[in-house]
Amino acid sequence: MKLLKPTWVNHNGKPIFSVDIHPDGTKFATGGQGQDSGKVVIWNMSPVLQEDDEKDENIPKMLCQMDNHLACVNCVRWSNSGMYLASGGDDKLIMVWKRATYIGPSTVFGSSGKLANVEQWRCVSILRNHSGDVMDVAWSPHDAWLASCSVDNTVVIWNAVKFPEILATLRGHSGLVKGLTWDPVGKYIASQADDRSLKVWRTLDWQLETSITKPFDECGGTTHVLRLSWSPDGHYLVSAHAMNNSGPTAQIIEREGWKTNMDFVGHRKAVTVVKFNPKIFKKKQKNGSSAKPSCPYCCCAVGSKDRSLSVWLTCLKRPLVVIHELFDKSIMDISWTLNGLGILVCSMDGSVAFLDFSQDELGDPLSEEEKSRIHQSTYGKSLAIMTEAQLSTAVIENPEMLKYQRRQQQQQLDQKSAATREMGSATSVAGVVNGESLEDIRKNLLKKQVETRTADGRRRITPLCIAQLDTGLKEQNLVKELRPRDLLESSSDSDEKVPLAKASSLSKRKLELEVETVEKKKKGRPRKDSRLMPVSLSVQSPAALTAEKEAMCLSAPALALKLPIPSPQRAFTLQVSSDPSMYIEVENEVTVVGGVKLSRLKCNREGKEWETVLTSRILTAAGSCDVVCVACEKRMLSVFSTCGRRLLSPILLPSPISTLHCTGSYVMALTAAATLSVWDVHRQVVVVKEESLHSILAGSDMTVSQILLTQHGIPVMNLSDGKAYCFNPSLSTWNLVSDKQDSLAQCADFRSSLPSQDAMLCSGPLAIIQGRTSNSGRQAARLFSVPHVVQQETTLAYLENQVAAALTLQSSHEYRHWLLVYARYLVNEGFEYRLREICKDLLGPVHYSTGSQWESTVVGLRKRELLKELLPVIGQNLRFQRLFTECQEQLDILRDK
Amino acid sequence: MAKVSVLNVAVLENPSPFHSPFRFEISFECSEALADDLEWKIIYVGSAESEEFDQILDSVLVGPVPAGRHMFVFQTDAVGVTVVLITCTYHGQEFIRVGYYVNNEYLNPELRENPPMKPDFSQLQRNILASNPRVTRFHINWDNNMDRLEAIETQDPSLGCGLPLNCTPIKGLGLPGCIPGLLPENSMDCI
Repeated sequence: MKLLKPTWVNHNGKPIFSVDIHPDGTKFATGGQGQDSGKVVIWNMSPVLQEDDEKDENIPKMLCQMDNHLACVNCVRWSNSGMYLASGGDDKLIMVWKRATYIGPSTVFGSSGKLANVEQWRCVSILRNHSGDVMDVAWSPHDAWLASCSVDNTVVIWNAVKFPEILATLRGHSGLVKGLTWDPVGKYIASQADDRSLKVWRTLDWQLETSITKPFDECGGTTHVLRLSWSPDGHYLVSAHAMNNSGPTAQIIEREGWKTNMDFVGHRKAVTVVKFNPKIFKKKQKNGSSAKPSCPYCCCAVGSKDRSLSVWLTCLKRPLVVIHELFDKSIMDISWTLNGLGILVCSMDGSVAFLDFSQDELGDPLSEEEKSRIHQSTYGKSLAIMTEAQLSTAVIENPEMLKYQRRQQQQQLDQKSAATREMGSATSVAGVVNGESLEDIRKNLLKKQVETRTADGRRRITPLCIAQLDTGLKEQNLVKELRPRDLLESSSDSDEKVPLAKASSLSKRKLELEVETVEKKKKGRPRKDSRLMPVSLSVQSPAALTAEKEAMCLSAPALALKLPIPSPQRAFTLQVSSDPSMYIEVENEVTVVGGVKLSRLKCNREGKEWETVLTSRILTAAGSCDVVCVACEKRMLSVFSTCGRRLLSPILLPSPISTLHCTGSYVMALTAAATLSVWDVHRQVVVVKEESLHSILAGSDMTVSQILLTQHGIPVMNLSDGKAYCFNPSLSTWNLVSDKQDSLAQCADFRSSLPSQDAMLCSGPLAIIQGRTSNSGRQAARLFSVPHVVQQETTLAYLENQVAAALTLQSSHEYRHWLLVYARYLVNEGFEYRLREICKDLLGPVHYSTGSQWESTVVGLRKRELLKELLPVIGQNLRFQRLFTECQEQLDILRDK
Repeated sequence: MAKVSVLNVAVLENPSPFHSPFRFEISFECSEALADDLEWKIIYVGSAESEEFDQILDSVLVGPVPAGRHMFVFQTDAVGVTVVLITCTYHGQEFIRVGYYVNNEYLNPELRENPPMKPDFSQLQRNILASNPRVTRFHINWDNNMDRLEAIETQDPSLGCGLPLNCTPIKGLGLPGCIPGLLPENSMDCI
């Protein structure tokens, strides 16, 4: 063992409260007190590891320092991916940092040049929720969540995929919470507090699993931190400060039954920090010794207020090593290198120590594969499902496959080199804006900058933006930009007011309210696109109706559904779309000569205007880029072309109109008697004929919260209970396409099978119906709590639902998207039969036969083209190389024909 | 944390004739889009002892400020100062103050040796000591809802000390024993 105290790692003498080594081992972070603020510093690791690098002046020691915390930083933690750094401090905040790659090094203005930040780390999220100092933060395995604990007695679980969303606040401690640790398998999180208890919480429902108090009965709240740790094999949880026979200990808690029979004894003062080595070890096999396989064991470092450090192996009864008086003050934090052989320790005295072990001392570390096998055998699942190492032993049987694999490797290499090239040119990228160099900009800045006067006569300069930040913010903006235009604001509105509708007395008010909002929308809000137009309205079921018959003023048959009907207005305007700008104006009862009252319909499309008159009052209107239609009194429906030409003689509806909709050449009419019709006015055919909503609205106080008509003329009803049904004209059935409460969606985890960020934003009717709520947090939540087999089943079922729903909606784009995700999941998880079935269907008969019922296209997509897209996906798993070859060959045969 | 950090203040056309306008090219970085404008001021420090003699020479609003790096030129016609401060405030709270010494001297060595009783402005050259700005940062409340914070975030690191504001001879400049002793004999204070 070697011991080193790198004196250059310091906060100018101020205490260092936390240290954490980056997962890639090249750098580490320290957190603590700064001059007048909290301070986070990122240091280069190589000068710690190598003396030559320490002496080399060209190798920077400090990479970046951040003074942004207003008060002392108590904890710094890298995410498992190494992408983010989280810091928590006395200012009640947690800041999440990300490295900005394309903004070059910069100095702090006004300071001497030497203090330049070599790396740029910027705060991408500030997490505000705690009402007191944040004492510890911890990333869950796989970085799905970030947990933080505070002197406000709570633990907060943040959705690390979607900061600053809070998934849960764990309440139960009655004292300052000073330490956190995740179960390596992800089933639990443990916290230790000054209230003399250690609590274990379930990640399944974020409820308390157990509270352990006995070993802490004698403890006083005397330590600054209580950093506990969970062993990498998941068997043991080791607490910080505990007492046994009035001696300070670190309590060992067994996962099995939360038994507290063992402890680490020997420190003279309270234990502040325990940290398990991330590796599991086995005895080094000595030449000639008996080949008896030894039990794997873990290694744990314990730091104490008595300024000493002890390192233990779980296979030994005594500590491996104890170092006394390593510091002048209490040890505050410990971090192991990922290879498990090095350890950084920091102290309140403001210094840091590095210990370097050899493999002879600790043992042979198990590979990640072996570790995951231990998890698999103990907990029935493993975090790494299929490792690269397992694959590499498979034999490649086919030259095509080999070629494909090579090509893929080459691509990866290319991407890497491209990425490094980009990094290399980072500064030059930053120096150029819109093809103009920074120098050019500077020359003309004064001329270019816009100067205006405010209302009170003051000068106002609009600054010139010279670089955008590559932080999370920008990604969010991108997401916003990529949002399809079809997705209107109103769809989110209607989500919000999914009515509860429990008490019928409430529903009356609600009804009025909703009708009002519908009308407001029609009049006021500009529609961005006419193709898909969700409109919210409420439908009342008989149960609610009887309670308020007088309110409705309609003598409805007792058992029939009744939808609200629009009341006649003097005049109204409806914006159909803003790009191209198109709006409809209606004026009812315009008196023409001779006392004849007519109604006027005006339509303005990009400045071109037409108008026409109707003999009865117009109740409601709708338009699309192809047609304009209006529903009048006396149940009349008229349809006009975009130039105002009447396309059909008035249609007589079976009952008064409730809602009217147009998409493309499709017109949808929902009547007050809850029947639905859709016509294609160009082809002059009926798509849906007076279909009753009775089957989907049957039962309790359900209302329709949103109506959608897809480009293929498929009507979709979103109901208040979160379910969405679409009418399938070919089968004449209502099909369930979405369910907000779908437990499958919550359990399914297919993130690894998603293609890429932008493809995830697959747009279309299905996406609109289901909303874009990313429940990856919830998905992940289930990932750790559900056995893997169940997880697989739910994911499969969910993905199959999605594929089928996209098919029913005839949304080809989405069908392709979900089919690819599904196939990728099948490939990743190794489901051969289903994959084979898909391929078979896509391929069709290779040899022509008259009896074949096979369709060569599906929702407008050529099946064989889809199969070609699937092939590279299939090729990713060597297990399917035969399937890959088969399909490839048959496609080749077909192509040659 | 501060939403705006000043990356650089470049003094343009320096040195320049006495009567030419001041031009500061200011680049700053904003981490989160600001709801309101920033207010930049150029202040003449009349007396080292008291803020009472501070004169705002010019002020300008800068906005809108989305997240990113931005740049603008702050130009003002003020002349004849010896110490100039550039400050920036958000919602009326000052979060950064940059101070420069200004040296006004005759170009002509003869005039420099024997300055005329009545200053000859046409001959004077103004030199802002741009390489040595004094930067002080303050914590402010960037949101509307939080309590005001009044701690000083950092002071000039080259001085390596944390002198509280009210002890420094020039407010915020953090340099003890200032103008009269430091400025050359022939420098002018013309206001």
